Amino acid sequence: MMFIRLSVFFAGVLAALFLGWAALVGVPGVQIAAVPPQPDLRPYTFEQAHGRQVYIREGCMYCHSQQTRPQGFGADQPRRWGRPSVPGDYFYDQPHLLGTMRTGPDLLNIGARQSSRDWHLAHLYNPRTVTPQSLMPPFPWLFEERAAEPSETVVHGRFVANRDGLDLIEYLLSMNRTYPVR
Amino acid sequence: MSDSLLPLRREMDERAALPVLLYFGTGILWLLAGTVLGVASSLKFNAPDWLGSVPALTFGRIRPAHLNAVMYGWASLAGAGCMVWLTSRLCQVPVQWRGCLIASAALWNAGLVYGVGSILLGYSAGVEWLEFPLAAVALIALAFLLYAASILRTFSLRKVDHVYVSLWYILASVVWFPLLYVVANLPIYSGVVHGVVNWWYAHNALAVWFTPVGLALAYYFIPKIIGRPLYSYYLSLLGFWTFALFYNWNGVHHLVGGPVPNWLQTISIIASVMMVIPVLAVAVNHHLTTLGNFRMLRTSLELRFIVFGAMSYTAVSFQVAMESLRSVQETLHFTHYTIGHAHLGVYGFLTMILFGAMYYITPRVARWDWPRPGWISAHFWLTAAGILIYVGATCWGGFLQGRALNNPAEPFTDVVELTRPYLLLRTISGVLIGAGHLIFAALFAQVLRRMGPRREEAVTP
Amino acid sequence: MNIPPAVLVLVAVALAGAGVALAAFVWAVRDGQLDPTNAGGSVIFEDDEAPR
Ligand code: HEC
Repeated sequence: MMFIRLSVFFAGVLAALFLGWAALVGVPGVQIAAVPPQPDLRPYTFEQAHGRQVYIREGCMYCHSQQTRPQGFGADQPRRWGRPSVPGDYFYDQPHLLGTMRTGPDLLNIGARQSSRDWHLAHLYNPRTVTPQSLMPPFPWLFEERAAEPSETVVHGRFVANRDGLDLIEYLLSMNRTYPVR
Repeated sequence: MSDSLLPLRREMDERAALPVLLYFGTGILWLLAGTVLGVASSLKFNAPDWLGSVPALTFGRIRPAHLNAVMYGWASLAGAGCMVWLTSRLCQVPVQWRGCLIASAALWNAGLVYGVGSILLGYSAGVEWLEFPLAAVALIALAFLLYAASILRTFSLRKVDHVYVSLWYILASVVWFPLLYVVANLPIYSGVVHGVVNWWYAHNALAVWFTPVGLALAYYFIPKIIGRPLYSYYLSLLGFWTFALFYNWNGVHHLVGGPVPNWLQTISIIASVMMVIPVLAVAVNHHLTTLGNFRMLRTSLELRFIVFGAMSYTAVSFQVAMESLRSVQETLHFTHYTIGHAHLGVYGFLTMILFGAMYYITPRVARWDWPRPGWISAHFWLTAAGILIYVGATCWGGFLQGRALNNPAEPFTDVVELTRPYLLLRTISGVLIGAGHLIFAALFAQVLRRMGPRREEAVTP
Repeated sequence: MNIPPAVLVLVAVALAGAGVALAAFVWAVRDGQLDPTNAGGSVIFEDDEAPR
């Protein structure tokens, strides 16, 4: 015969996949889904949610993580990127943007670290005008060239942020999980 | 050797020709597109302002476009073509339900154009490896099911009593992948659970589709070309079941140190280390079968690619087992090392084996030989050197990057500066690899246009 | 030590799964489904195509 019965073969194959699913997704899914949001975490406003969409669209995730590791594991703590994150910090995140690359710094708490809109505007238009060594891409299409209202910030003499740019910055400023874990 | 089966072989190859060449041809187009996107992504690190004002060509879009084009385009299409041919050979039955396969190739490509286009135009779903919008996912899932239907039909009519180990991997993959792909794409997850699903999927896509394709081919071609059965067939079956059991549990090692339960990280790490067992089973078989026949690497260009791939598999697997350990992950996580590791797996292992298999299969189904053996050799050396430089640069650079990141006294901008030479080396190696791909594509086009010698079927190839 | 209930469930599932796998394996061997194992490796030469 030299082959186990087909039914046994497929049962085994499916069981292997199922076991992995149960262990990696099923059980932790139940465990984590029971975790409520951190009480001090705010749902995203309309602008912030739209800004988050821009963050996804431009693929910021491929260079920036949004997860902070505990003391003694990496240098996230001494670098002051924020206390170790917990599942309740991500309650409103769909899709998740945990990320796996740190070509740029972790951004989970960028709103607390860098709260200046003007800094973000200049940086997004062209990061090298702010940080000459940066290899982050420029995002000029988040800006438009027109006469600025008095309340608006002008970068490079003639560009003001458009809706996408402003909302992206709203999102960045909202990234603040410095409240204590409860 | 007697050749009483020549008519059957002819019939099998003839019936396989259209679907296989369709999968191969379109796969190669995605390989070229993916290479351009990959080299461009790498160049963006060296010159961030290059094409900096074109939204569709920003790094954060072409990088996922590259991944999707090479994984769901190149590797999947070329892999499907190889699996169709191999299933027919191992069952000694001509390919069944060819209409399904042709529809599958068409739908697959439609899904890819839609999916990759969506990413470039800014409609990514935003989850690594799962960036395609649902409509593209549906097209590709359907295409895969049609492919699976044809494979299972051919298998059900098999004339050979024994089910060879390659077929075990093929059969498992056709039931595994559609389930995994659909479950992971369901739009129901959020927060940390989504992260876990994401990496369960991304790692398992390799476990249930890409790696089985590579192993099925290696298990067939190494003994076949050398003309000597596997060193230990029994071991290959043990390898299969341990592979099926452990690989599934690996994914969360991508989130070590993150906000996921500790026990979950631990079982993933344990399973990653357990992978040593199936890997050793494969390694022993591949390397001991090859041992003593190294001179064949000079005469058989196909074998050269495939043995390179099998060696990469061993290397990349030990890398995983080591890399998933917490203390190692502490340094290497979040760095370019991960990128190097991924390329050693998907390129050094899978793509090199696919090249070898396609060099073997194409002349048989097209009934036309490769025109310029010297070019094949050039293809091998360009891609082999290219990927070695690539992996060396990203792994070493990534290691240094990780050490610097973990040293709080080192300003972040210094970490960026430190990686620059390695990123430049990466672009250079990408160009070498790309040159190899151009040669490969040109050769394939020449076979289709019958520019080489006609294939003499009856004599030893 | 505080073992999360999720782990206990998981261990139970894993042990049960391993048990079933073991039983299936023993049965398959007894049933002769796996022998003669090593001969299987030669099946790829049955298409008679000469090696190179
Ligand atoms: C190619 C990789 C890359 C991409 C893509 C990228 N960045 Fe960056 N980012 C960097 C690097 C490198 C730095 C550090 C140097 C600097 O400040 O520019 C950085 C820094 C930053 C900082 C400052 C962090 C700090 O701690 O000071 C912010 C904010 C930021 N990026 C936001 C974004 C946003 C928003 C996007 C997407 C629209 C994005 N980045 C896309 C590489 C990238």
